[in-house]
Amino acid sequence: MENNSDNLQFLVCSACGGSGLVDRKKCKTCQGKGMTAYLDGYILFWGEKINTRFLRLYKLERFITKAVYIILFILGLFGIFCLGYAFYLDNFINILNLSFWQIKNPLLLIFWLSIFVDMYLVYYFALSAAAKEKVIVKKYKSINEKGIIAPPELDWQTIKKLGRKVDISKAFSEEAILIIEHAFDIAKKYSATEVGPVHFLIAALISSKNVQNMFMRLSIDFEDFALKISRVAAKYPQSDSEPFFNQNSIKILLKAYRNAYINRSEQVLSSDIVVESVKSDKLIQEVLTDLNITPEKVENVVLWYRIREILHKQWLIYRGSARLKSKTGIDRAMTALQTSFLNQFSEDLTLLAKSGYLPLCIGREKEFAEIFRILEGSSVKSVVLVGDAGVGKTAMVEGLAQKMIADDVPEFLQDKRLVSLSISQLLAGASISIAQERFYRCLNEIIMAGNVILFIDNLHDMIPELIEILTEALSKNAFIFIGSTNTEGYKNVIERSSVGSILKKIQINEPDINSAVQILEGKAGFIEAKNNIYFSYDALEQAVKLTDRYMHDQNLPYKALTLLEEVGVWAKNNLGANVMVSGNDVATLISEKLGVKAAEVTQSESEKLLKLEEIIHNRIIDQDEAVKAVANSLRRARAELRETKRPIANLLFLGPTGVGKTELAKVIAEVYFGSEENMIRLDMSEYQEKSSISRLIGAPPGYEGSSEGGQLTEAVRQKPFSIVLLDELEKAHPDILNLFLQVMDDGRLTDSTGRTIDFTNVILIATSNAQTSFIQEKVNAGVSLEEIKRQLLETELKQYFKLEFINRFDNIIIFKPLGLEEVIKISRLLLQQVAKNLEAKGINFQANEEAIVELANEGYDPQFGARPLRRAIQDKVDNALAQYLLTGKIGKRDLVILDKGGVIRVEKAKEL
Amino acid sequence: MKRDSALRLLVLLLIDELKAILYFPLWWYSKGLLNVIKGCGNWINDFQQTLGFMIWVKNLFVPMFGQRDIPGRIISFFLRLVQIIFRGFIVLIFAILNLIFIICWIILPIFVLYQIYIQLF
Repeated sequence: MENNSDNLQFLVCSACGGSGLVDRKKCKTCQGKGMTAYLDGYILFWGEKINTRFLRLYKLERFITKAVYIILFILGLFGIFCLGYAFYLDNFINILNLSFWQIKNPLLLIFWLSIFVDMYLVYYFALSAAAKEKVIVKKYKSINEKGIIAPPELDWQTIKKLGRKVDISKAFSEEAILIIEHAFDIAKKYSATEVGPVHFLIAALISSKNVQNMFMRLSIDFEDFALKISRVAAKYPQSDSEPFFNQNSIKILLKAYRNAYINRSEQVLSSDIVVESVKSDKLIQEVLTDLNITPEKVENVVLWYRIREILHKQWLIYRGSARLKSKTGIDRAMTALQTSFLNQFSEDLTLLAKSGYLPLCIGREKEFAEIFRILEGSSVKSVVLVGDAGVGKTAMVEGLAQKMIADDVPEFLQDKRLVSLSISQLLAGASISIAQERFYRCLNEIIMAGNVILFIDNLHDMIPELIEILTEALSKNAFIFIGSTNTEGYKNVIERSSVGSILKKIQINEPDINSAVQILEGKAGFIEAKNNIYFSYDALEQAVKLTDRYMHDQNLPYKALTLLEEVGVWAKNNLGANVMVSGNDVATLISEKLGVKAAEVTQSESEKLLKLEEIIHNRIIDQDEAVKAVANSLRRARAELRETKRPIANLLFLGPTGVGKTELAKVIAEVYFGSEENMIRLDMSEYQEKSSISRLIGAPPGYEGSSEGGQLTEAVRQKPFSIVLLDELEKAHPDILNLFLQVMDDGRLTDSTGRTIDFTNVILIATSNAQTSFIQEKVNAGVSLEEIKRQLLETELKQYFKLEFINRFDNIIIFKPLGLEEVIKISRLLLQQVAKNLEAKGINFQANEEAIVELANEGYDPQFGARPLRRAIQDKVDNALAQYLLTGKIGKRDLVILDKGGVIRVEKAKEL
Repeated sequence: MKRDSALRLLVLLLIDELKAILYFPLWWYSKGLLNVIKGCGNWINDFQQTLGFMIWVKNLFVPMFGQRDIPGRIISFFLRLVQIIFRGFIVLIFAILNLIFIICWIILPIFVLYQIYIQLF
């Protein structure tokens, strides 16, 4: 965002090498400046000498100044005391008599002398205030002007003639100066040759409460940090002589000044030094990276503190100017009229702002400028703010009310009222004709009053009759109007109605991540105070990033803000008072809320992920390749190594029926999304017609069933974190397959109403029985799965799917037909399930090995995999058990044994 | 050697303080006075704004409460005139108070010197 003229251009004196001294005397070439920087027409230099001798001088000076203050103050008080004592001695009789003052009295003499002392105190105070200078004020430039002022070629001769010279040391805050001096001491302690960035950082961390707080917000482990940073300090070159400020450290101070200049702060603060120190030292950055902190994070935290400061200042300005504003709705010149009728249906936003009821608006300077430009310049003074719910339209209008209170608006908006008219109040309990009449009267009053700026929220909700009245009133151009609507409402209602041509559209976009974080930084303080907790910087960043990623049906900053409010309450209840809320706390809450895996991978979870194959094999027999492929893609997704603009994984399961394709999908749903319920299952054989697209994404508006939404889109909209299982994909109509191209590539699909449905958090699994006989044949012939897959892709699959479609799958997984051995294992699994069911009734169940093999043999069919097995168990085991149970042959604690030949034997439990 | 340099530092600082004392009378009647005048000016302006004096002056011919008919305009004019005179009077008093303060600032050193003279001789 910075333009060229904001960049510093350094000039180092070649005669003295930047030290400002030649043979311990002032360098003549640079006049002792050593090094300068050119900034926007100003010549900056560091004017304060820092070495042991001068440091001692400064310390002594500070001490003397303090001592002088105290002495002067005591003397002043003593004078007043003497006067009082003189009055007392006189019994307060003659004090108004001239003679009392003319009689010689040592007490009076002391009093008069003390007046001089008081005067000197005033003088002394003014002098020390004048010694501090403010950072030069950055001029506002138009966009076209940016970058034009290229810095000139600098040398010491031109500098003598050039612009204003600024000694930046005078603009550093007291704390910042102390940090610089402290840095020198620290460098000396480490016997460093030069004072470097790390010394600045250590000094700041030790002596500045603000800097400590900032690093606390970064949730840093102070002990660890101190240890590592002192190791960095030890790596600096060392010598026995006194350290000095080299070019780099002066550069840091110059850059810190530039920071303050760009941010329009009055003084260079300790945080400016910290930011520049971190930026200029690779080793510090490495230490911070190790602690999961980037230089950008440090900058953003500094910004956070700056925003708080700015907000506080803004608040003071608002409060200061609010006292000048009228309470009655009449302007200060008393030209306006009372609007008693309008007041029944509206809310005076400026009055609310005056009383301090509205929250502060952060940023949005560009949009405000646009509103002012349009209202001031164009002939019709009506605008409409167009933006989706939650992007901050209302916040902007409330911000405008505050700007009006502070007179921070163009003249035509000053001393006016911003009134929000409520359409629902207008319509309440009235027929259309009465509502029309009410609206007429309101508009009439507004025009008569002349000081009302009308705001109507959600313009698209107005009935057409009222819109017509509004159009008529606006076309007279007699008052300023601001409306707001969402994108859809603008497109469908406003643009199509007569008012659309009058209103000038101002697009309010969703703020980007960084601006949203800044908005949160401005609001965090209130949530913190309310819940008695503290947010770390990560918490704010995560609130924005995670809502941006997982909550697509709402907008920033609103969704992040509501989440943060929720986090506040949650933290208060679960973590206790005065705790620092971390980024992971926010992630945990959002995981709980949405059922996604957003929080950091915990130890137990990472163990689980590493053993994923084992866990899946508890339910899936064999199919090693398939299980491995799925496990790998889940691990990739959880380690955040996937693209976030596509579904988590697109998988195609190929293989004969009854080998575990759907079962594997269920297992994934359970392992990754927590429950088998989180699965959207579509049988693609139901979508063989082209017309069935409308069932998938919803019927177009106006058609039957258009209000229901599509079976796929609606399901994903409601459960964005789930498995989408497309069974028997090859049976679907080719046009429907085309629909999935976009889903697999971009992770989104637009439904019939124009809503974009987010697919980036689903796992898309398609199963297909295509070419089953081919697979079976090859497996029987002993061809490896790898080879079968290659052959399938090259030739066989092309008759079912287009190549571009096949290519979109991350993984095509071949399920091999089951052999008898696998079916035996499956029988065992299924019988375990039977045992589990009986256990719930208090009955024990066992099946001996021969019986299992017999069952498997019966249920095994090379063509249908394990599917007949379920039927076999149902027939042979479940049916018999049911009969036994119903006839009461099995009681609680009995042991039921399945023997060879399907015989069920009951061993009665011992009587108690 | 160390003590020597400390002494030199102290001398340096004392010279600075001495300079400051000598500059004091000059400051009182130059920069100091200017600061006081500026401060009073801001204060008066602030007070004027609180009363809305200039707003009333600017709107002298604008009818009050949207009464744009002739009688309304005439009544408005006189009402505003009365308001302006009344408000102007208050601003004036405030300005005079400020002026007194400035005059005090100017004569204070001389007055105190005179009083000390009386006490001594």
